[in-house]
Amino acid sequence: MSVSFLQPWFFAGLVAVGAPLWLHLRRKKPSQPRRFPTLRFLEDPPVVLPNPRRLQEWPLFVLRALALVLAVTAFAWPYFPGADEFMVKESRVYLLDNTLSHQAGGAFERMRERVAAEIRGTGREVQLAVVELGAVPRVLSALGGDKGAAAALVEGLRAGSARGSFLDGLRQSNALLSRALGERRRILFFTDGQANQWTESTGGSAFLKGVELSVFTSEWGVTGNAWVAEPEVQRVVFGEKWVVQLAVKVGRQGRVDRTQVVVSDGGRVVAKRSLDFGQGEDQRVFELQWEADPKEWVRGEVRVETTGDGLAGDDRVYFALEPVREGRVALLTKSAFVRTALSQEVMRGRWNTLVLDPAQLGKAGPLESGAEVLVVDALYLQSLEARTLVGAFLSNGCGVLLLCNKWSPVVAGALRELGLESVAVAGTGEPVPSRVRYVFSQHPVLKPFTGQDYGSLGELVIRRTHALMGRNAVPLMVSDRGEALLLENGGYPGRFFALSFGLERADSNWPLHVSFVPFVDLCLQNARPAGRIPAEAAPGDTVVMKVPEGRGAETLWIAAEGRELSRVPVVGGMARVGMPVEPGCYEVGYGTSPEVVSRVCVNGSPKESILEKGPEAGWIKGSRAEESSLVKGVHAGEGTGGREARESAARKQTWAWMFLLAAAGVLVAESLWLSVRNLWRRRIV
Amino acid sequence: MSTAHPATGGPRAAVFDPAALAGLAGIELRARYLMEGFLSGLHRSPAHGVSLEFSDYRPYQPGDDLRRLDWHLYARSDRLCMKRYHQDTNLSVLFLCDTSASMDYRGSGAWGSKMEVAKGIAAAMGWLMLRQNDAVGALAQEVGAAAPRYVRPAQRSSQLGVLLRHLDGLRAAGGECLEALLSNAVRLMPRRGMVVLVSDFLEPAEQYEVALKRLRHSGHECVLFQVRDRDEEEFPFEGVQTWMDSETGEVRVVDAQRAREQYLQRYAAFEAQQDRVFRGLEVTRCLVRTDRSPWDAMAQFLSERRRLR
Repeated sequence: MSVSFLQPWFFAGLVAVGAPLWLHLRRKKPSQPRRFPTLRFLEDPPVVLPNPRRLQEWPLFVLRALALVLAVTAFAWPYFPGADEFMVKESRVYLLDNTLSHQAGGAFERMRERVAAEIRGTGREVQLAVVELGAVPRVLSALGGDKGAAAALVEGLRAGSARGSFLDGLRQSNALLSRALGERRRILFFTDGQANQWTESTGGSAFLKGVELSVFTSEWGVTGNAWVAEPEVQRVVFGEKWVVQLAVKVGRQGRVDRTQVVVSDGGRVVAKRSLDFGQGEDQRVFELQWEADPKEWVRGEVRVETTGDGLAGDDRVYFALEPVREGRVALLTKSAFVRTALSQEVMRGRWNTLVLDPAQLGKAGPLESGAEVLVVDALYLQSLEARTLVGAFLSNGCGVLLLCNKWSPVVAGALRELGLESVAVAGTGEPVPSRVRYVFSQHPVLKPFTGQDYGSLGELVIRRTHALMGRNAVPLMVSDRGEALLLENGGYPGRFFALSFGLERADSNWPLHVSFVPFVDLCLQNARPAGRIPAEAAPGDTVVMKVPEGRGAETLWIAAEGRELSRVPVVGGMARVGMPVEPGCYEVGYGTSPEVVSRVCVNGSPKESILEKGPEAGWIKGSRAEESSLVKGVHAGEGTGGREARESAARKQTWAWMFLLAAAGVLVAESLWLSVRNLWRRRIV
Repeated sequence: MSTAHPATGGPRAAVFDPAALAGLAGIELRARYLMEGFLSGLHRSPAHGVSLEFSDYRPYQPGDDLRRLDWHLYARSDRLCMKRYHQDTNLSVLFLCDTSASMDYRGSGAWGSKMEVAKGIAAAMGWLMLRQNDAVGALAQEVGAAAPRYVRPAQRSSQLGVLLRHLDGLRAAGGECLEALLSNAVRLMPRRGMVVLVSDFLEPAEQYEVALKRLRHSGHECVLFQVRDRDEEEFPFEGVQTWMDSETGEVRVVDAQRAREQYLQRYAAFEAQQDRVFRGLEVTRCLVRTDRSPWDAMAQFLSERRRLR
């Protein structure tokens, strides 16, 4: 129970105090001057008052004074220091870095023990709090909490794999200190001092005003580190085979020249290869592909096994691929090659084709029939219905692949509405063939073509192009004449790819190239609406997951190997899920159904693998405490534990309420005394 | 006689209670001194006239009415003397009413304010005078008015209504007015008559003493009705209270219990001084208290006058 205006007892006390006062005032005679004709016979001084030093009614004076003393005592009582209270001289916040890099060489464990020992060793006059810096700063023990419990909490901490912000941790600690009682306020930051953390987010203004910051940096004591991060996997159809393509970054630091990369899928080791780092080569992309059942989930991990590795937490990454789900594509193109490539004979189980009739565009509803992607010739953009259809696909989150095989003012206007402009080419004579020169190899559509499995895109000859550009368009493929051959135009809920040429033999030889069918497939796969649940997340991240309306689920759960970890409510078709801090592949499901609807892989950041120490940022140095706070406070004894402190505070407040009630009782007695006295006087008269 | 507050009976009833005045019907009011008047009445006039009551003789002078020559005396003493008789005449009475703000006071035990009591006395006296064929008038000095409110003395049958309307219109307001009231009375009464002044006389006597002397020396009989409240005489209050003077507006905070003794001393001294002035001028003063019926006081006053005669 605390002294607060929101306490129900406060109102009871208010009535107890106010009622006698109200009665007293109600009985009080009005102070209206009394008109009298013979004032001249009164004493000469204009104002004659009874001698204030002479008490006329002792009982009334005693009662009123007692009521006043009791009321004052009631309000002042919580501020009288008791026998188990003392002055807080210093307030500290122990900020413990529990990011992935701090695991290196067991530094976190050493620092953890040190912090716990320091907490236990602090005196009564030190008020302390503990903040763990993980993905987000987490207050383990607030100011005024029990020190023994705080030390136990620190000792129970496990090394985390998240990447957190030093800035956020310091801000959180500073916020705690803003309510501290101690005259001296300190933040004791126990960290590994990783360089890229100090140099990150340095744009903010200084905020550690009046707070001392002490940074205790641990030593990793490692000679080298190998790491693996950022796995990228996708399924690619290769002839009759479904292949999983994996690309993952493998890096090293220090005395590591070789590492062994082990890839497993569903517990089965797919590959185990040795990877040598060349001179000055600190990072490589490890690529692998293997055949996998398209109807099954791909759940795997990549780990590096290295001699002399200093940080085990970054040696493993997880990936997952959902089973192949047949897509539905609407075709509004004359290209026989595209139609063939997307025919059931070629794309069975992969794509289901809906060929649109240009004459029936106003009536047909490809979106209603479940089409996810639209392939459309620019020729049809001369029709209002086709333009409306393209806009509908893009605004509904569906994808569009535009084949720019026709150029006219109407088409140019339609493209302009879509955010694309034609690039004027000097010389309007016979078109000059061009070749593919540059490819955005990191883009998921084109990344598989960087290998040799699908031939070389350099073999393509583009005979007729209508070069495009746009403010939000990213060129993915550029010709040797500098014209963008393939663009991805942003700014829409759906993904919009545009080829600056048609897919006829007269336009290009690509339809006859071995990469054509995979390209169409990859392009359409990437153009499909994004999944409702992200496939990847960082440790400790909060992820928003959408739940289909038709599921009617009220909760969403996260599980690891069939063991439910957390369950969150679904509000408005969305659930905010706090991801686990441990890397791994986690299952996601809805409601009470045990069906796994998706999988999310939690992997650490590769930045945490860079074990380099750096100086504190300038804004930290500038905020070292030259000013000291003058806040003084009395705080219940921390040394005796939070429970006893709370009991002490409760006892005080109980006494305060009793004093208040006693004051009210005395006021009631005063009112009774006055009533009796007046009654007695009337009887005498 | 009724001592209840007559406020519920309307303004006229407040000042004119026939039942109360019936008690005065058998009392003959005579002025102690000779009065001048136009009409024969119950009052002896200083003018010698045709009354049946012999006064004295005076030497005959040529031109005298031979009908009043005392031939019997001439036969006995051989002197020609004229017989003189006391002339019975009516009395001219002027009621002066104090309208200072102090007259508005009404104590806790009073049946009416001092002004209401004063109006009652004036009305009763007026009714009585008119009934014995005296001329009755009234004069009041209202605050802020350039001229006093004046009702010329007359003996008409409708004069009582005029007098009562005059009394009804009086309001207690303003400050001291006795000196102006008396001065105006001297000016407005050329013949000797009776001046009835109803007031609380809370003004210092030296302020109106000269005017009162002038009135007396003009030969008028002065009858003073001093209206007082019990609170003024006894100051029975208790506790510390805020007071405001009715006329000056002065505010004081006074402990009544502590101030009572000194108040009563000062009040007694004031009364003594006033009494000396009234005795020196041979004016009749009758004390009327607002907690008692004015009819009682007036009856007592008339009885005393009769006894004195």
